[in-house]
Amino acid sequence: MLFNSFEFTLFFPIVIILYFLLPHKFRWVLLLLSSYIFYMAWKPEYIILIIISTLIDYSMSILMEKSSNKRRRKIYLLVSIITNLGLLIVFKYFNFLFDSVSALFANTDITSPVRSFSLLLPMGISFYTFQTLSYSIDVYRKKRKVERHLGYFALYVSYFPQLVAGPIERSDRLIPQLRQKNIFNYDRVKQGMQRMLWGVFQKIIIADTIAIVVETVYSSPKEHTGLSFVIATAIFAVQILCDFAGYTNIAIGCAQIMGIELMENFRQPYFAVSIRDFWSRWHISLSTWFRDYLYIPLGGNRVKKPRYYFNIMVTFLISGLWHGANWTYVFWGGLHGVYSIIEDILSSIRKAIGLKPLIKKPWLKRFVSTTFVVILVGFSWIFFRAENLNDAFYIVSHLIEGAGMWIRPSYIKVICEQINLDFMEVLLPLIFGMIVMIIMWIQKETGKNPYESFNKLPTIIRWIVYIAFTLAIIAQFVLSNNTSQFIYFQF
Amino acid sequence: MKRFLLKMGIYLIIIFSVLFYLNYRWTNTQVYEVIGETYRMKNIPNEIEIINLGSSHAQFAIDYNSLKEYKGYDFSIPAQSFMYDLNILKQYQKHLSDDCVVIIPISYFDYYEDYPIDNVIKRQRRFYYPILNINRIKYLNILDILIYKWLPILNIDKENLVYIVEDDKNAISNYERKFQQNKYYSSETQSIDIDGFLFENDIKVYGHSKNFAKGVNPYSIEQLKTIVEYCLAKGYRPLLITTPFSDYYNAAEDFTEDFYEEFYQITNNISQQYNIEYWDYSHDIRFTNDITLFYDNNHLNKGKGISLFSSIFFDRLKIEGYLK
Repeated sequence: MLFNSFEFTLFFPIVIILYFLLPHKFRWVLLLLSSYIFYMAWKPEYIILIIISTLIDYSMSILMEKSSNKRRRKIYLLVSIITNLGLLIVFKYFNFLFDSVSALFANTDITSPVRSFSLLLPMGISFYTFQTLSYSIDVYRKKRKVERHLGYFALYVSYFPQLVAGPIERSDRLIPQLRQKNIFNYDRVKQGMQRMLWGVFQKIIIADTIAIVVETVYSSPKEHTGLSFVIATAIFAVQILCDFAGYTNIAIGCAQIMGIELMENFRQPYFAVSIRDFWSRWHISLSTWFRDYLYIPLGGNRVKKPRYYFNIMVTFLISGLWHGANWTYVFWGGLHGVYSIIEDILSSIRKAIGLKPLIKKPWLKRFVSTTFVVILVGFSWIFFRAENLNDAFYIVSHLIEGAGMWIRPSYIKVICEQINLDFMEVLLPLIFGMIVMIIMWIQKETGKNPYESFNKLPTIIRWIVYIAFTLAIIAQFVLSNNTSQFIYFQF
Repeated sequence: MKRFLLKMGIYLIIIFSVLFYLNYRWTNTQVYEVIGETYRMKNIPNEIEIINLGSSHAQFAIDYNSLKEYKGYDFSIPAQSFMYDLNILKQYQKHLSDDCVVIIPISYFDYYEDYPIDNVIKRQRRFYYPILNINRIKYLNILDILIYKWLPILNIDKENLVYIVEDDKNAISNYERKFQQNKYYSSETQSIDIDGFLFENDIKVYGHSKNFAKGVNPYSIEQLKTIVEYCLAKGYRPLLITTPFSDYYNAAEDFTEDFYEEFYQITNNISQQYNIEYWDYSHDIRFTNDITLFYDNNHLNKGKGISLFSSIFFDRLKIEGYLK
């Protein structure tokens, strides 16, 4: 079930009403059933994968806790890891591996030893397998106690607001909250609903309306030229943020209404002053997952420099692969790895030779750093969005084509027409959305809660915003004649 | 909780008031009536003596305005399947006279409709929400009821938004006028655009024959038989017909000899089983080779074509005793 679907607008109020009507001891049953219904609305048979993952991790974690034999504990952990990664490999990466192996054998007489098969990628499989894996690893490391209530554990794996696109929650945060008795709290529910409304607005009004430009250019790059690529990539940077942050806002808002606080996944990412800073702000639940379960076990930064850089590259390459079974994602991850290594080398050199900052004014320094990071991240999005590496390299090699004409109004007009960049339908929602987002980001950067600031506005203004946002969402929903999937659902 | 529910109530009332107001404006425009063809289902008289069901083939062939001495009514809707023919007939039977003549048009695609999964059939349902009771619409879901029955504003196209502000008062007459001549024939040069016809064959015939590979759908035949049985039980006089098609359409690649054999075998079997007549005009040379009678390759036009066919058809009805 999609958050931006009609079904969800019926499903969610029913769940919430029942949630607050039911005694606390039965709420986990309601939430577990609702979560399974939520997932099964997409493809019912794939619920079995969630159930397999749940039962294996539940039983392995209990066996791990009971056993004091280190070797056995390791075997139980391996069963959990192999099950979860096995599901991921079979459903997400098998054909990718097949294609890659086939490409290796393409120019030889040898027949590829593997065969591809057609399977639909289970929605959110990368999210729930990682969530449940983190639990098994934590139990193995004795970082947390085992959850013996199968119902609460199953709910932790499948809790519907964050089931298909995160945030990837840790068991020590989510399970106690699921167990906790929550009563109806007006302010909390109001803020949750405000957050959901903003999330839907980000998705439907901003992300979906500007997606047409990106789709036009990236679906047939050979029909476009430099300025089109620059505009489409810049717009994609906003689209992917609004799409994913929109989803996250809806997820957090849903959970907040029920009294459950999910972790923040974004912290004004385009305000980052370095690549390292960017990754502490973008998809935080995933980057901290990779930090805790891959990067640190590899040795993190407490090793010699070559090994440290190796750890960075491995983490980013696997993070890229996590996003999708395509070399474009691997390249995108690798590019961020290279950025991070160069950033570290430059920083080390600067420290070693005692180079003083060229820019003294803090605000200007920050502005320049942020701009530089945005350009680097923006460039990497080309690989993330392109259909394949050939397209990506074509776009990169033609990125500044015709740059001499970029300031001519007549040329800009022609390009805008070519890429469907209509003022009313695309630019206006983009500009409006960006203004609202930047105001919210500035507030957050200065330690304020934008929702609290909003609630201090006069009632009439708040109500105008609610009504206008709702009608705009309905209008866009109607006029677009479809419900588009969130980008991160495919991961 | 009370405070929250009160505010949610006010919020929903405001949102729905705006939506219902816009919906009221939209559903009262001529443009809306043209899109759903609902204008044709308004002011249905009582004691109707002759009606036709069927798809656009019937809609473009039969004009009761030329049948002054009888009360006739056209219940055809574009791409209407037998299933909806039956439901239209049941819904509006109270308007028919006791011995009403019920014309049941059969098009080449009718026996091959793919009911449960065909998206075209599902899309067609939008025609029926304003004119049929909900329980007569098949495969419905609550979202469809909301957007097609209660709030068609939720189904409006971008280009039609302007009509909410100001309606096009000539929408219906312009729509009817559009079909009066052959769109591929120039009366000034008296020449036809053959490429246009061949292109029509590519797109239209594909649409009409796309389910041929799946074979005859027994459900379609069953629905047709149910219509006939319903008519006979009510005392109506059913008559099967196929409207005229152009030679271009009849000669299309997908309409093979085997297809024609199967089509006529099924139709004639039903005709014989119930002892009712089948009048086939599909290959009638009074129409098939005169391109000026058609709108496109398989629909007569609403000028010369519909007049000629209606005149010939009504005369025969009188001669054969259907109209007394």
